[in-house]
This record gives sequence, C-alpha cells and structure tokens, in this order.
Amino acid sequence: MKRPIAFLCAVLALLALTACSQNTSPKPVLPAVGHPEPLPQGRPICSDCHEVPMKDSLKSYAVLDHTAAFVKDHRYASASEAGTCAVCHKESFCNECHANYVEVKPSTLHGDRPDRDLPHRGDYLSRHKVDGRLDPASCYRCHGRTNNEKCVTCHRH
Amino acid sequence: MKRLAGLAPLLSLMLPGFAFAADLNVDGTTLLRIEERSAPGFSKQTIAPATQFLGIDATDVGAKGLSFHLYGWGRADLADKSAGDEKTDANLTYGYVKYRKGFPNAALIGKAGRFFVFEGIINEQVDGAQAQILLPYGVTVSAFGGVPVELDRGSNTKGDLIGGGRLGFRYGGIFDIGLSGIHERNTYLDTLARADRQLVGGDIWFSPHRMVDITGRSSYNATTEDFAEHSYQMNIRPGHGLTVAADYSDISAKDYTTFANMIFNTFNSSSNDNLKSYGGSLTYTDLKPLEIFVEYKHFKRDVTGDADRFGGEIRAALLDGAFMPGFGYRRVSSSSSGSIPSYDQIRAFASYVKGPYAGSIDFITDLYDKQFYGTDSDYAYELSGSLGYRISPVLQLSGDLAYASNPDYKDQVKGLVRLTFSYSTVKGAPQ
Repeated sequence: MKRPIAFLCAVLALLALTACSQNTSPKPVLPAVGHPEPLPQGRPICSDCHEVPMKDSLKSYAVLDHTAAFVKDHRYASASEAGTCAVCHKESFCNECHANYVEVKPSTLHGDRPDRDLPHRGDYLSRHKVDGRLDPASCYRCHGRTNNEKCVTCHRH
Repeated sequence: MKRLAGLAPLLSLMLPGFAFAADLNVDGTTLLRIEERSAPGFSKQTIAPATQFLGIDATDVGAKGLSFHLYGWGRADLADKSAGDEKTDANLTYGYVKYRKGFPNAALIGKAGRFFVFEGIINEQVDGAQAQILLPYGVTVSAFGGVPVELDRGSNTKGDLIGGGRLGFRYGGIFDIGLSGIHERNTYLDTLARADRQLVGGDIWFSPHRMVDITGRSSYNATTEDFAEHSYQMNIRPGHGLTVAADYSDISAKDYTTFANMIFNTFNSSSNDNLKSYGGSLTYTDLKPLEIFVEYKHFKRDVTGDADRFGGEIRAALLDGAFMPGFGYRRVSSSSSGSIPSYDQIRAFASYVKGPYAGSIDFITDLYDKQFYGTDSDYAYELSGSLGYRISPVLQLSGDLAYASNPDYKDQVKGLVRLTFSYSTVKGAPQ
C-alpha cells in the first residue's frame, strides 16, 4: 500500500514543480464547452448576456442562472427545460449523479473541481446518519428505488 | 444482463453509421483509486479499483435527425473488493437511438433503447421506447413504455412493466403546466408483497410578473390513495444579480416511500411520519468577482422533531477566473434530544489554473456539539488536493490525494489518478 501512495505523491509533486515553473496564460479547465461563446470561469449567469427570453418557452434566461440556489433546486428547471439544458450539457452530465447505479461519489469523480456543488462532499458516511434523520425524503429521491446497492450493505434491518 | 446483451447488436448495427455521423463526441474518464480504510474493530482494507467511464454521442447517423447516445462504466478491483461481492462490475447507464423530425411549429421525437425519463413527476430508467410530440400553441404530449431497469443485487427490485407520460401546456412565458403519471405493474411493495405502483401528479411554472416565478409539483400515490408530495418554490429577482427564493415542501412518508425497494424499508414507509420543510435563500452575483449566498431551512418531522439548517457561502473568481477560492459555513441546529445531533460545518476551497496546469485544495469539517452517536469522536474532516496537466486539447491527466478522519473511519488515505479524454468533431460540443 505504501508504494502506490508514495508513487502517487511523487507524481503529484512532479506536477506541482512543473506547474510552478510555467508562466503561461490561464485557460479553461474543461475541454470544449457546448455554449456557442466561451463562458467565463465559475458558475455561468445566463441572464448576464441573454436579455431576450428563451426561444421555445419564452421564459427569462434568469430562471437558468447557475446560482447556488439554482444548483440546489435545479430539478424544477430541468424537468421542463431539458432542451435548453442540452445546449451546454450532455445527458451524461446529469447521470453522473442521477443514475440507477453510480460507481463513485460525484465529488470523487470530480475531485479536481471543488468549485462545483456536488452531493455528499467530504465525509458522508457519518454525516448521512444526520441527514437521513433530518430529511429522509431528500435521500429517497435518489436512493429510494435506484442507486441503493451500497445502502443495503448496512441497511438490512 | 440479458437485456444489456440485447443492446450489443444495436450498438454493432450503429457502429458503421458512426463513420457517416455528422457530429461525433466521445468522452472517457479513467479512474485509478487507491484507498486504505481503517474502521475500529475491523482489519485494515486496501482497495484499488480501476474504473473506465465511456460516453458516445453521434448525431445524424445515416439519416438526418437520427442520433445515438451511450454512457456507462466498467470496474476491476486490483486489490480488495471495493463494493459488493465481485471484483468486477459494470453498468450501462443509457444506450439509445433517438429520432427527431421537425415540422413547421411542431416536432416529433422518438427514442428506443435504455434511457431515463425526467419529466414532471416522472423519474425512471427504462428499457423501452418513448415518443414526444411538440404541437403548436405550446402543447406537448409524451409517452413511454417498457421494462424498468432493475438493480444488480436481485430480481426483486422493480416491476414487470412500466408506462407513463406527460401532457404539458405552456403559454407566452407566463405559465408552463403539466400532468404526468406512471403505472408500474407488479412491483415490490417493501420487497415483501407485490402491487402496482401508480403515481400521478402535476407540475407548474407560473410567472405573474417578470421578476417573480413560482414553480413546483404535487404527486398523488394512487396505490395508497393519498398525496405523497407537495414541493413549491418561489423566486423573486428584484434586480440583476439578486435572487431571493422561498420554498415549501410537505411529504407524507408513507405515500412517498411506499415502494422503496430496500430490504426492510429504510425509509420507514409504514409509519405515518410527515415531513415538512420551509425556508429561503438569497443569492447575490453582481458584486463581481464575488458571489454571495445565504440560506435558511426549517425541518419539521413527526418522528424526530424540529431542526434548522442555516449558513452561507462566499466565493470569488479572480485573475480572469484562473483563481477561484470559496468559503462556506453551515449549522444544523436540532431540538431533538439525541436523534439528530447539532453540528457546524466549515468548508474552504480554492482552485487555480495556469496554462496547461491546474491545482486545487479542499477542506471540509463537521464539528458535532457532542460525541457522535455513541462513538468517542465529535468531529469529521477531509483534506484533499488535486493537480492536473492538460496533455493535449483532448486529454487531461490529474491526481487527487486526500486524508480523512471521521467517527466511522479513523484514518483514511485516498489517492486517485484520473485521465480524461474528450474528443468531438463539433466546435463547442456539450460538456
């Protein structure tokens, strides 16, 4: 076990040293973005540029502003504006969290993106005991009928 | 698994079409995780799962409007088993063909294969077919049918057949309403008895003024014959960059969770537990480069009593977005005597991009008011860091390292190497 960890540390240290020796301009972390125009880093605020309503629904683009509140409650917008979501997001973007069987926590899959609000960040093994008592409905949405293979390891009684 | 195998001929038939596809996107992420787990009373465990995620999207495959979409993963454990009873596992999240035909003021969309349906109150994964018709005057009709996708662990997790649909009507940016429902035949009720799962409901988006919108949904469990959920949110945008949101939710546990397919329903659907919550949040994004968010939510639950969660977050995008730090604080304050512990959560993170290099650091800790559920610990934390290098425009290598401690696992060391591949023939392809 010590050997792989040491190897990983060495690779990361090498990357860090090389990074410090570079002096080039910042570029986006992600590859090609679906939006026709380049987006600034951080959460996109659609209504910063889109002043006219959406073509099909005629709703204001402000309903899709990616604020912290939107990220938390995007289920409302996504259930009726999936077509607009698809301009920038592939379907797999949704299914990294919303799936029948998720392989890793989204915050592990995207551990290099701490700026993204992803569920169960940090220690969730302990914290889920609190959240589960506080608001079990929020657990049920994703784990009630799907994605509960790991839940039943302990939740048998 | 047989149904999965059935998709193989479909894929092989589609493969030659990829050569003629107008647009092709292929994404892959390879993860090699290394973790050392240590739980009190158990021997140390070393896991090293290698997972490959793959996504393919091809449009205009052979014919205009015909597209193919696939996403899934496969894993092999190189050391101790990471999950379940096997050292290998795989899952096809979706794999379907889609056809879209446009008409003046209307469109027809059809899907076949394995896909998800997220519409109105519907949230299902199905092996089957779906048709959606967009009609003039804002009317939409969609229907799907097929076999619900079961979980791997057994055959008693879903019903035999499922069907459903949504009828929607939207008008001029003022309202968007829908009626939706599902019927799943012969599914498991608490995994012990069987019954048909029937759910109907409505969803609404209503904007009486350009600064205000109200959105939400209600669902009715036709099997238990009572309302399962009412969840609504109001957003007020008095000025650019400022959003004030208020939300309310009322859920009947029995009717909401009746069909939880877990052995002995963890969600306690046999009780008459009622879950209510209400709260609000404020987001301000016009104080560039800062974004400020504060929130409050009150939870009222019959079984465990009342609790409040409140806090906020401030984040910034500095150096043209190359440097993004953030700080958050939240507190859960419970009035219950022991069943819900009160705690503070503190999080600080930062990410930095310089040329082809990227780095980030993340710290999150939960500080419980007293020892956590009979353990000798009253805290949890995780410190993680990541470094990445963009090898080429389509290939990025990154590595994460984390150290964590919590009441369940005293010491956790986790490492991960991530190789991300993203190829597209389209400029500005969706991410």
